[in-house]
This record gives sequence, structure tokens and C-alpha cells, in this order.
Amino acid sequence: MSNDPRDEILDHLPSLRAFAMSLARNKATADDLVQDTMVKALGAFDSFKQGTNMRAWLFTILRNTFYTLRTKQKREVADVDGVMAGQMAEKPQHDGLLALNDFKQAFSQLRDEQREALLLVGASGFSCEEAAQMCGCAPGTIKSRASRGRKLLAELLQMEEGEMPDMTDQVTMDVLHNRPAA
Amino acid sequence: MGTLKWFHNKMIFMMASDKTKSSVKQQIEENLKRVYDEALQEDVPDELSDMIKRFQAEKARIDKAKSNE
Repeated sequence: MSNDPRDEILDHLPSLRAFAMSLARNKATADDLVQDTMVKALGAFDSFKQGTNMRAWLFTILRNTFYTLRTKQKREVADVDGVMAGQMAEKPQHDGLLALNDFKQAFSQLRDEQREALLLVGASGFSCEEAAQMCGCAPGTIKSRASRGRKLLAELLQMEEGEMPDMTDQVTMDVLHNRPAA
Repeated sequence: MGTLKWFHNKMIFMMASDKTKSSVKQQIEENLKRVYDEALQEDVPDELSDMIKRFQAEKARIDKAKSNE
């Protein structure tokens, strides 16, 4: 088979899915978003500048698709399933896991723009400038959305400066010192 | 499972950082990274193969339309 530059789109499916899940907060919508993004990317492939960041290009298509969909629905997508919120019904095995589930649930309560900013510049490793370009806003806007999002997360999780809630309890210390938990 | 390794990494991360000032921000960033990585590594063979099939079909459709021009 010939070396089709379009096939590089497939390499980005996992990260597109991860980004889509953080935006849509539900698996079915996330998968629809990724599908639509792929089809749009193929249709518009001539507009992709070879040698530039394909992941950023694809993320831009995906988030634009998401916000178009949201505008159409005239409301935030209310159908939030357990993708980001985690399975709270499962009994956590240790405090680290509990903290992560709490975190996911708190994260899913943030505004779309805050989740987007936090995901782009934090987890997926784009610079503020790149994220700003992708979202069509100023870098300062990305920074303030991320900062507001972090502040809200800290409030929801009752985190305080200088405190490491899941690092200070006895079970954690036992694990750290390789002692069996009582 | 990977619990010990995770705590170990977290401990190293903490020791290497200024833990008084930035703990909340760091903890949030670290958790975001974990949520994202978890979604990234999620095993979804069915969904992915469906997507790849649709991708190939769409490519074929575009190429056919182009060759008919």
C-alpha cells in the first residue's frame, strides 16, 4: 500500500478519545466526536499544513465540533456518565484510588472551558500559546480558565495549600515505609 | 498492583519539589495527568476498529469522488 499521509490521523485516535472524554464526559458522545473529527479531518486534509502539529490540528477540529454541538443543543451536555466520574459504587482499595475517583467527579463538575484548558495545558502537554491558538483565544484567557478551574477543584476537594490529604494518613505512611497495613 | 510504584514515584516527585508552596497545584496537575493517561490507555478494541473501518471507508469515498471529477 502506498504511504498515505492521511493515515497519520489514526495515530492520534487514543489521544483524541482521551480529550473527547474529558470534554463530553460520556463515552457515546466522545466516540461520536472522534468519528466526526476523523471524517472532517479527511475532508479538509488539504488544509492541513504538512510538517505542522497534526495532533493540535485534530484537537482543534474536535473541540470546534464539540462546541458547535453544544450550541445546537443550547445547553451543556447534561448526560454525564461514569467515564470521568469513575465508578463510585466500587469500594476503593486505598486512599490513592479514592482520591482519584473524587478528583474525577470534581473535575466533571467544572465548566467545559475550564476542563478544556486544564486538559490541554496540563495533561496533554500543549503550551499555553498552542492551547490559545486551538481555542481561538488569548494565552491569558487559557491561563485564567485553568487557574479558575484549579481553584474550583481545590474547593470541591477541600484541598488547602501545604496539605497533601492522601499522603498524611497512617495507611499511606505504612505503605511508604513498606509496613503491612494494620 | 502498581500501587507501591505509584506511591514511590509520588514520593520522589514530592521530594524533588518545593512542597510547601505548590502542593495543591501539583496535586491537581498530577491527577489530571493520571485521568488523561487512564483514558489514553483504555483498551477499546471494538470502538477503535469500528473507527478505523469508518476512516478507511471515508478515505475511499473521498478518493472515488475525486477520481470522478
